Amino acid sequence: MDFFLNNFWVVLALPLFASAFIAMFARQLRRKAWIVGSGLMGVALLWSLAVLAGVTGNGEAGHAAANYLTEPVRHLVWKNWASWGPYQIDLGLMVDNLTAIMMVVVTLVSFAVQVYSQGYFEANEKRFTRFYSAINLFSVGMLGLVMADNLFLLLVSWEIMGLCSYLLIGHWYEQEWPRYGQIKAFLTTRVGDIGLMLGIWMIFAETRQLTWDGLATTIPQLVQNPGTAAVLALAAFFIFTGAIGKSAQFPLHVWLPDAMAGPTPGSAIIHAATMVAAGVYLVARSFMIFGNVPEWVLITVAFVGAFTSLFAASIATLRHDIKEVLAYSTISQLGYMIMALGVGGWAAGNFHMVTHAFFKSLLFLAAGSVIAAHHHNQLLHKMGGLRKKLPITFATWMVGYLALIGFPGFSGFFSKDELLLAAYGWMPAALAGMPWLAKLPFVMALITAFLTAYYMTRATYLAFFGEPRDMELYEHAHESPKVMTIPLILLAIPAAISGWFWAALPYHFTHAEWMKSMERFLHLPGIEHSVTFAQELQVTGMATTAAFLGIFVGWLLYAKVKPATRAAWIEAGKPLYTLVRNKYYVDEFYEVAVIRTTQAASRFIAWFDGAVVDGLVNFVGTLGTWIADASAWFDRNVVDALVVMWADISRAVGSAFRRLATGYIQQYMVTFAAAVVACVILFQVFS
Amino acid sequence: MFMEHALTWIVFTPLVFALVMMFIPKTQEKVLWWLAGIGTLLPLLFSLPLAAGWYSAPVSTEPWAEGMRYVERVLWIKEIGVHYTLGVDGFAFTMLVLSCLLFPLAILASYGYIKERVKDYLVLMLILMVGTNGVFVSLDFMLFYVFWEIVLLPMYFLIGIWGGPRRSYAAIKFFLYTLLGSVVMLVGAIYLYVRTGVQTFNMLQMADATSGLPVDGLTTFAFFALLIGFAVKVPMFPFHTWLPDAHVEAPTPVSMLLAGILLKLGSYAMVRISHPMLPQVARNYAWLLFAAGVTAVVYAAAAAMAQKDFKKQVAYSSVSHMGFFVMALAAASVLEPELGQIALAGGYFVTIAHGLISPAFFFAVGMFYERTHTRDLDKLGGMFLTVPVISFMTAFIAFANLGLPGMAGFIGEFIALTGTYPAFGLWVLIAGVGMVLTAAWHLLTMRNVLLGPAKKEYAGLADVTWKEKLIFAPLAVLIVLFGVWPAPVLNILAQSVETLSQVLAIVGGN
Repeated sequence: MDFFLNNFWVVLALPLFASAFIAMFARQLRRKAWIVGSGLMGVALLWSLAVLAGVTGNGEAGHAAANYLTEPVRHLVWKNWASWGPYQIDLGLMVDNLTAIMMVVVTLVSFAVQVYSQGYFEANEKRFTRFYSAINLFSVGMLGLVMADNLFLLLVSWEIMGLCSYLLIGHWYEQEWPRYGQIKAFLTTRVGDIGLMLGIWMIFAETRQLTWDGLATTIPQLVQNPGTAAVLALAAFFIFTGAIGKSAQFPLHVWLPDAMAGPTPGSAIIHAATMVAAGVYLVARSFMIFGNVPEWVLITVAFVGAFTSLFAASIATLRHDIKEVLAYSTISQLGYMIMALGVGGWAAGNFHMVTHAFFKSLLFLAAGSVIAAHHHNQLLHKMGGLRKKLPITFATWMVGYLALIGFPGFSGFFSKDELLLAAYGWMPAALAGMPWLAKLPFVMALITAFLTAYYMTRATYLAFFGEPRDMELYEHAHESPKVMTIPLILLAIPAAISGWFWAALPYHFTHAEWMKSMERFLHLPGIEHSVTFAQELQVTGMATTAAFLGIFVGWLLYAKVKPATRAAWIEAGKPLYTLVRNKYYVDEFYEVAVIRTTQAASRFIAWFDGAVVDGLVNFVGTLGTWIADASAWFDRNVVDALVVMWADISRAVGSAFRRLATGYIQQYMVTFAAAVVACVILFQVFS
Repeated sequence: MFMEHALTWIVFTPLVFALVMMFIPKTQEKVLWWLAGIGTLLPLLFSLPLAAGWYSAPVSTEPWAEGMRYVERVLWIKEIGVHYTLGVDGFAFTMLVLSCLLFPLAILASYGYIKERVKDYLVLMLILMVGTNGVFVSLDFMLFYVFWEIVLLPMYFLIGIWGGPRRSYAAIKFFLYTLLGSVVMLVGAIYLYVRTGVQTFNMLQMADATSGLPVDGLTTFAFFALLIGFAVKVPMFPFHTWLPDAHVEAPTPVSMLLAGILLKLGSYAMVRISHPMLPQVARNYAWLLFAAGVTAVVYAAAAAMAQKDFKKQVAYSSVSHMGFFVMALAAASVLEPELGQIALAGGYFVTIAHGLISPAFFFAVGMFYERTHTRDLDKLGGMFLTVPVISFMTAFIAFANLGLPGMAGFIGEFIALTGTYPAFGLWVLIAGVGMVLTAAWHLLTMRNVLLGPAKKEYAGLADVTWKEKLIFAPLAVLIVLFGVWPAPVLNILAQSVETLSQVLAIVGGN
């Protein structure tokens, strides 16, 4: 195991090689690119598992350090990669507990996606190799992100993923929606990225370093000074805006639904499992900043996350497109994770990031299987009864469904339980006077749990149960080939059981140590949460009730209530329905407040530049010719009339000036320079 | 023999070739092309041993060339103390190599593209090279000024004769504007010469004397006289309007040189002349320079977004990118040296990165123009399905230009702003807005030109040629190399950056 652990960088190098190799030999490989891609990713997966095993066997090292820092088990450094003035910047890769588990998550999802895509893309797909090259480059970005030992390398990986996201959303760029979606995604996240960069500049200005261990030593000292602490808090807030953009939190969530224009397997890895979780990872990894600065930053984080989870879940209840339901669900679940970090549930947030990666990529791939079977129809209202036609897809979808809604026993149940618990016990000193405000994230999260169960039940019912609504599509539907169903099964296993490594509740009854392995594994020194077992039971009870209630309401509305009755109810609540159906008009607001305003401003500036700034330049030029003309006129009509001799000289000067403005400029220059020299010398002599 | 006069060889080899070519009949086009190619390639070859021996080369300690390498000195005009003094430091040498790299590429890009009056064109190109290289190696102000003016004339003719429909307007505007700037600059320099009474035009010795002058009306005047001369060249907001016109009318290879190297004459002159000579004034007016820089970043990006002409967009993006350098220079003039060095190194790296990226971008625009005969963004479209390789190259360079990590542009901008933030605080967010706008128009332009369904009228266009690959490849390789590993450039710059930021800081009392 030590060999694999020592050479953990190979996991990063394999997809990099795959990406370059596929890009270079695209024409020779064509359809065979999937063998290169998934083959190398399979090796990377096994390697990551070996690394994880190595880290697990490493005892305390991966999580034993002070100041919200986990100490790397292995660390590779490119010393003095570049000097920024007198500061030497080292770039390093490292592996600790969090990195090790994320490496397995990334490589597993990437492997599953690459096997699956082979069956997903049709035989005449033009950009097959491009897709594989981009997916592998993306994996490099995500692996680089989790291995980076400093903020700079993290930012670089972060942006590489942004590029790949752009490329994959625009995969079918002949169509309008992908072209729109890819630009929207890149620009919206770019807004957050500027915040992240500003945060990094601020951190560097205060601490003169960017590595995790360097920050963990300097920041606790610097925050002793209230002035510096305030600046660092602002820096942390700006870093968080990066997370808001990348993890699609309100108000920068608008890009993620339009990212669904890309091929579904791409959405599964980038816009569900990994890249969008990068914001969560960023906050978790830089907790030595967030945890040390004044509290208002983490309070903001908690409220942004809690609000986003509720907000997005409410939108998801009325989406018609199966991928859009999942997209809003992803935003909502990311909000959960962000909230968990904000309330100090560091381990809970990361735990949910891991389980969510499994079950959400599973749901996306299952949805992709439905869509492929259904002639690329994505509308839920044309589906129905598909469980008979697509038994394997249905079974795996159900695993993902149960995990997402937090059905007892499935992975999401445990991770959601943990983060609700963290929210429940949250009581920051700043909110001591307003206990109800401190409980608000928990309440929002609980309502979200209900809504999640509701909208997933709705989607599941519409897709797989009831009578087929479009007989023709139904007749042609068929189960996907094995290359697609095997990855589904592969992902369904961790989606079902990965929560068991953190089963606080069963642990209480059985005292089986392995059940708490993940908790210990993802423990961060400095964060302890203390809730009694009775409270734990209470929270679990509330969460499970909310989930069951959601299932029941969903089942009732779609299986029992007649469509006509549903329509009548919608009519009754028309204003609310319209508001939610139109996603609270956030897109429309941006269209007016940001896009049109920017376009108008840019047109104005372009006009201003031509008419005013350049107009002034041209005016000066014209003025020059006027002066030349005027002096020529003066010369002819005034001076010439007086003294012929003077007029001759003057004419020469005048016409020389006139020439100036038409381009014969050398003389002008010499004359002018000489005159100025003379003036200066005279000035010196006389003064 | 060669190493003692290496810089002279680099500067004047093209002149020798130009003189030889004047005696070759203009019908002998093949010979002329070969001569021009060799004449521009030789300086690049000559510069290689200098780069290889950079760290082992002796650093001069003479007052007239302190901190310089590869120095040469001959008395020229005794009466006013003018010497033929050559020497390079990090600022100068990086630009010299960049210039030596871009000229052969520009000649290659002209081959097959320029068909009329080939001889005149090539001779002018060679003379232009003498001018730019001369500026970067001169240590005497008068010599510097001569080369500075030599640059103007060939450029005027290159735009005025081989340019587009409005070429004469653009050429005269370029000429008058930059000439006015350089005359103002000359006034400033002569004033300083007279005021200090140093009896020499050596720039380093002048700086020693002038940096001790009090800040008064006349030194302030002298500073702005110098600065405006350079600001026009950079071009710094609001002196930039000649640039879009010049670019739109200039033929592609001339645009490559204009953006790639001619603008850097201004940025180089700032770090060589205006700021070392009058750091005390620079410090006082740093906020003004910062305002101009940060305005340029966001203003030019916004202006670019509204353009309908592909090439004009790229021209505006030059203004925007040079704004980063101006900002960083302003920051370096108020910061303590540790942080000032970061700003200065980053800002100067921006100019180098821009010197690699913008020629490639203009070349990409040229490739489309040569095939479709339009630069109208509304007419182009669907190019990825028509000419995939060219489109890939364009997308590559567009991402480099918008500052994607892994490419040189990002490194420069990021380091520059790392150094600028401590000086100007949250005002750098304005530059951040500019970065978003830059990304926005790049993506919109890519959507317009590259993506979307293929257009019928462009069906059957030829994809990239070997010549085009040969021009693009070295630039692309360097963009990625310095984006992944900027240390070689930063290390060569380090000494000069340190010296200048200390000069700026000592005067300010830090």
